[in-house]
Amino acid sequence: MAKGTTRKERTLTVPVIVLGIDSNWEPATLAAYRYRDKYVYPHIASKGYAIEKCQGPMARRIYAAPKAQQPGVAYVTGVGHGSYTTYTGHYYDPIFQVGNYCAAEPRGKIVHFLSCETARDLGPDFVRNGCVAYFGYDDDFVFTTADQDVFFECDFEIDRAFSHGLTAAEVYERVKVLFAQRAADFRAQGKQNEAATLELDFDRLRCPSSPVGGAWGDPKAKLP
Amino acid sequence: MPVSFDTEGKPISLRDYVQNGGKTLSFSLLSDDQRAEVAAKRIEMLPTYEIATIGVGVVSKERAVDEVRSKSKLGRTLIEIETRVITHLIDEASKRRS
Repeated sequence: MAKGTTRKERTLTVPVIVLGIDSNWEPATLAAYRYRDKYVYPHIASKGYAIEKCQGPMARRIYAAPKAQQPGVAYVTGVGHGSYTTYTGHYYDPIFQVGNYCAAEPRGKIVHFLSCETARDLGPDFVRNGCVAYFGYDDDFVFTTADQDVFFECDFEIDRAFSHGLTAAEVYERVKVLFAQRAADFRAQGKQNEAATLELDFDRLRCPSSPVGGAWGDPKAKLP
Repeated sequence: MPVSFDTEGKPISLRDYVQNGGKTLSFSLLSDDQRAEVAAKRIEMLPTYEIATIGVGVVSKERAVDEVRSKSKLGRTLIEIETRVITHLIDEASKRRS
C-alpha cells in the first residue's frame, strides 16, 4: 500500500450464536430434546441470541463440527448420550471426542451438555483447548420419568442463567438454589426418591466454581 | 419399606429402626452387600418405579433391581440414591424423637 494511503476497512457484525446439538433417537434423549425444544431455545432466543441447531439425524459430527467453528458461536449446548471422553449424537455418533476434534470447536466458547459422564475427561480437555467454561456431569445424569420435566428444568437453569448474562460462578449459584428448591418441593410431596435423585445429579455437576477445582474453566466466563 | 436389618438379618422398617435401637444393625455399619439388598428390596416394594439416565436410557423396575443386586455401575448409582433416602429418613425420625 502506498505511503499515506488510508487502508479502507469495513466493520462486519455477526450475531452471537447459541449452537444446540440434541439427540432424540431413544426415549431418554427424546424426552429431554422435547423439553429443550419447547422451553430452552425459545427462552435463549428471547434474550437476543441467534439459535442454530443440529438435532435428531443432524446431530452428527459432520454437521455439528463445522457449525461449532462458525464466527459468532459463543455457546454450545445440547442433550446426548455421553461417556467420560465423548459427547455423542444420533445413534452414538461421536461428535466431540477427546483427541478427535479441532481446538477451534470449543475455543472461546462456553459449553454445557446434558449428558452422562462427559465432565470427567471431555470437559477438562475442552478447557485445555480453549473452552472458557464447561458445565456438565461427571457421572450418569439420572431422572425419574414421572417427574422428568423437573430434572430438565434444573439443568435448563444453566442455559437460562447464562442467557441472562451471568458469569459461570453466578450461574452455578443459581443452579444450586434451584436444585435445592426442587428437592425440597419433592420432599414436601413425599417424593423421597425424586429428591435424592435430584441431589445426586447436582453433586455430579462440574463447572468452573464447583467444589472440586478449576479444571472446568473460568468462573468469570459469561456470554457477550 | 426396609431401612436396615435386625440382628437376625431380617429387614426392618424405619419405625422399628428408630424404636428398637438395640436389636437393629446401624445403617452405617451395613456391608456393601447389605446396603445393596436394602436398596433392592425398597425398589421392589415401590408401587411404580421407572428411572432413566442420559447414559443408559429408560430403566424398568425389574431391571433396576437386577442392576442393584449385581452392583453394576448403574446399580451403584441406584444404591446411592436409596442410601441418601434412608439416611435422610433416619435423620428426620431421630430429630423428631429427640
